[in-house]
Amino acid sequence: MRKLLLIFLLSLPAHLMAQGTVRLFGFFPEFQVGFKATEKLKVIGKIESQHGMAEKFEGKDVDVGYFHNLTDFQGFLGTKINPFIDIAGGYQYRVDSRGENSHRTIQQISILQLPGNYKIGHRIRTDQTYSVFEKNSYRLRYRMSFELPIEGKSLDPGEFYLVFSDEVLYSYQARESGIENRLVASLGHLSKGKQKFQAGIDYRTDRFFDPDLRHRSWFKFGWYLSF
Amino acid sequence: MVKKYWAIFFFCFFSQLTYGQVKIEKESRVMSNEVPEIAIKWLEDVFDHKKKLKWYFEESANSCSFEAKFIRKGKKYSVEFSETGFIEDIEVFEHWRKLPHSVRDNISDYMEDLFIKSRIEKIQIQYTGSKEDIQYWVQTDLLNQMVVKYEVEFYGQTENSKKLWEGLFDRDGKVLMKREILLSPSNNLFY
Repeated sequence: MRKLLLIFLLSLPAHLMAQGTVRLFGFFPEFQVGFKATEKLKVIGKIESQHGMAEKFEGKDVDVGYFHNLTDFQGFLGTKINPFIDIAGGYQYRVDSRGENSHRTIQQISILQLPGNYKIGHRIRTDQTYSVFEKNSYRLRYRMSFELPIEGKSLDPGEFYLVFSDEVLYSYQARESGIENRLVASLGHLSKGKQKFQAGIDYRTDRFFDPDLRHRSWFKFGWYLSF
Repeated sequence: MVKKYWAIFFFCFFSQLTYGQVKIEKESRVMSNEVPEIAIKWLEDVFDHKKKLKWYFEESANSCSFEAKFIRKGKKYSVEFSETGFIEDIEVFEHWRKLPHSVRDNISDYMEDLFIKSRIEKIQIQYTGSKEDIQYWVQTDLLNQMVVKYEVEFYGQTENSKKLWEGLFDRDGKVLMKREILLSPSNNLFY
């Protein structure tokens, strides 16, 4: 297991170097806590923060240096339709490094599939972003995730797992459409206290309709707590 | 070899101390050279044409065991051995429609009595018997003195709850035991 972890961590820089068109690289920590408020109502709180370490524009040298990109504070209220389907609504307040803070409302439905010894998660989400600095933005998103145990036939406390996900986002703002893709590959660990830890790469591509296609790679690490 | 069995004994003993009465099963992948030779030989002698054979070490509140998982003639097999390598039982995945009519009727009646809505998710047929009976069953498909049970994972909805369950049913489809299946949290996939 240690060997696997070492190979994974050492392969991260290689992955980033291989991206010839990387424009932005940074760290992306997130912390999430979820608990049952009542038998049917689930509350989720989440903080995630993007910290840039290097930025490169076409034809210019790499600009290496730390900068805070943004920090999101999110809260969700959700309920289970059955063991496989959840619906939730949420709110996000974004602290932007340029001072262009924003509000976002979020609605989502998530579906869990258990085809064998692994999980498949589907998330369909819509969100609306409001800011005094920009026109309202509306997005429709779909994410498919796979959670695969790597130490047995099912994921048990004390074991490692892999998570792969891909999300496609369609956005509409000021009569203009945009597409973004988010690919994530992570190594996770389920601890005995229903906590999960994950570390991996979050690779985002957007501005597909613009001349300057943008690539962003984040080293993402998360701590997920459930009560 | 002696050292390995001491380690297993210690692990099983420690598991009992820490898990108490809570029903927990945990398995981890092991290599075939960590499995008692008697189990490997028995499996080789009895089952031919095995595909994708994998070994696991499984610990629960009361016991530890080795488990061989493989595919044979298109069916998924799970063969459980004691920690000293003696055969304990065999589980075979099966489709609902392949179960005997009377068994299906009894399981359906049980679920209809308990739930307003239900759905079968997974079925394993459990075969228990002496090693001779099991060997005879594998070679001839005749059950002889074997004990047959059905382990069924199902979704059940009542007025107040919607949950996943695991039920154990006897050879006629009469319930022996039912327990809720608790899934590990999936918030990391959805938020």
